[in-house]
Amino acid sequence: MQFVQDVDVLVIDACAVTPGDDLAPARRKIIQRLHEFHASPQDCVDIAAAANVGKVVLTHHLPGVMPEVDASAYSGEVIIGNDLDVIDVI
Amino acid sequence: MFQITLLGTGSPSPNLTRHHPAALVEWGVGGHMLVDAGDGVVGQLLAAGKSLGAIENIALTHMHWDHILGYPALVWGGWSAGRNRMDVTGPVGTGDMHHQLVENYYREQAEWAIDLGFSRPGFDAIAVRDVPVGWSEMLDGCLLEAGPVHHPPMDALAFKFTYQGHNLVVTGDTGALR
Repeated sequence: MQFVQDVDVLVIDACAVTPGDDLAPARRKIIQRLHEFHASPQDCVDIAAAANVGKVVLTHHLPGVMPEVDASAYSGEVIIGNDLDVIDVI
Repeated sequence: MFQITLLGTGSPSPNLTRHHPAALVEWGVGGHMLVDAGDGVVGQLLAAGKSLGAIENIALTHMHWDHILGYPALVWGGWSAGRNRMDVTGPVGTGDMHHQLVENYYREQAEWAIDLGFSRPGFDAIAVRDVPVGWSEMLDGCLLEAGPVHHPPMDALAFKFTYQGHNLVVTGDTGALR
């Protein structure tokens, strides 16, 4: 956490979403296990809030899934990164 | 100028709208680092209007396939676009990846391409190094640092860029940081 303390922009892995009920069991199991080595979108926002990050950019998205977060405790900006987005640091 | 262009915001499952992970960090005049080189990185660099031959610095966060499948394509694509040198930095395993994916398999074809007229340094002057957490270096006025992430079982790094008092971290893959 110390490595990202007070940074202006944090681009972070938000891959570990909550699997939907409609998924096949095998796929559901894989997505559940992602939490062992990927952060969830909410983890990313919570890290950004705790580390006083200026902007948090969520990336590493699964196909067809829009990350949902509660950013009410975070005063910075949350960006859901898309291919070819350009984010200014200065 | 200090910015990051997201080239790939996807995951291993291929899809048309989100390519494998890759991002280009740029600062000042010509300062740059490509962070990760997933499948599609060459096409995405072109789509972003970047010159392939000008990409000379690469940082790889870890060796999972979705972060490096585009690396051999970039070695060849940048070379054919005129690149004459490249520095590649990553965690333990980076040098071995280059040796296995590029040097071992493509050396014979590279020698043929050199005979055809490609510049030798474009393939030979690729310096690849494994670095630990805590590594740091100045590059074109930007402080680069490697930091810890949690992505078992891989050796993996985050990279921090500090330029003119502002900073950016790209984590690569990581579980929730503690």
